[in-house]
Amino acid sequence: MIWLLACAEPAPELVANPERVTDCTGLDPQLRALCHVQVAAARGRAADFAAVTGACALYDGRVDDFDELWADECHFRGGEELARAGQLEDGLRHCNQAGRFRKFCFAHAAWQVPPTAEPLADWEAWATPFGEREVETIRARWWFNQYFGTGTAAAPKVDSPHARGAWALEAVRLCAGDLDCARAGWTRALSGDPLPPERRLGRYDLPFEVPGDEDVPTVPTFGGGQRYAGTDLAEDIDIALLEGAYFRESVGAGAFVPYLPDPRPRVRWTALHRYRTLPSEGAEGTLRTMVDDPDPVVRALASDALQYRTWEGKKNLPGLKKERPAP
Amino acid sequence: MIWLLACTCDADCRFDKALAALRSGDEAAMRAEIEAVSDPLQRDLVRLRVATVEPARAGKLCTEVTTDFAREKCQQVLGRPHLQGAPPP
Repeated sequence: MIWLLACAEPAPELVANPERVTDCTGLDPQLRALCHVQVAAARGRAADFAAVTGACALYDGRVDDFDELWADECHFRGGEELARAGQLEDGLRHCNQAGRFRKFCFAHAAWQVPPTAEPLADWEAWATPFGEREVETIRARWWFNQYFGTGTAAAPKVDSPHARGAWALEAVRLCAGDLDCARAGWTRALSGDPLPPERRLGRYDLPFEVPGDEDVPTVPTFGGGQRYAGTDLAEDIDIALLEGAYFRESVGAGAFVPYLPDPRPRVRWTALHRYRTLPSEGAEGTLRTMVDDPDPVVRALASDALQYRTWEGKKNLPGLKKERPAP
Repeated sequence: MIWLLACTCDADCRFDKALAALRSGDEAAMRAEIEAVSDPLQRDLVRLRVATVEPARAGKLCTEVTTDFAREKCQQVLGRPHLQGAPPP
């Protein structure tokens, strides 16, 4: 008896964790694309700019949608990993080639830089050509590294919302979440124990556009987030402190309640943005009083929260259109 | 007795057909083409390849893979929500 199993196929050469482009040889185009992206990420982690370039070069011909998509993703992965390895400038050079993912890549790269000052030395000398919004993201990260976790929070000597935002994160930390204490730190420097670099992290939320706030100026914050800019110094400090409270994971919804009726719209919106995502007793009643508010932003945020009940801690629910402004 | 089991459609062919079915909006036909691949790894690789070409429409195929290799590779699609049209985490 002879069986001719004509459909028997040789198993493809599959490498689980490819480190070099030669590991991708012989794969079909789809698996090869994934393989090249993995190589770009691996070489990025090794701070090897040239090898990331080599891994992504296969797709830079961009002959069709598939090539374009995976070229963009390859530069994105390589760029963010180079940044994580402390090579921010090299990382951003790849982010600059990441096409549709460029803005995400810039935000990821900037916030994956190690949280100490050294990797960002002289950044202004090379970052300017990448664009103003990109520079703002790097500036936010630079100030974060100057303040957060350092154990010192003296008011910045420059008039910069990025600096104020970073100062506020550290001030709130040094005051264990007490916003009055942190606010007093603007005129009297605070100090305390530093945080090890690996713990210089916090809670943040993805930004999204709310009907009515489209034209309000924003400032980049941790992890690609955004906060409203204040209309004056005192307002900007209060907004930055509220963001600082949200960043500190042990701070609950109650910290935001006193600011929900604030007469300054951007302070109120900031408080409501954060309050609506945190578990609390009575949140439903509080939010229901806001759905008929004259302020359209308050109405939108409260209605959305009630519809999707984000304060109950449910994950992955649809909400207001979550579209990042360009970083 | 001679049995000649000549396959008319191998994994590459199933991939082509599954992708065509997806693009024509026939998800059931896409799944039927994938299920017709008998070897579990090859079947997963077809799922992965379709998801790679059409991550926005077929990224969820990655939730159905059964082999460790495909699961690992699928993280490059599932773990990257911007490929599926959402902002990255």
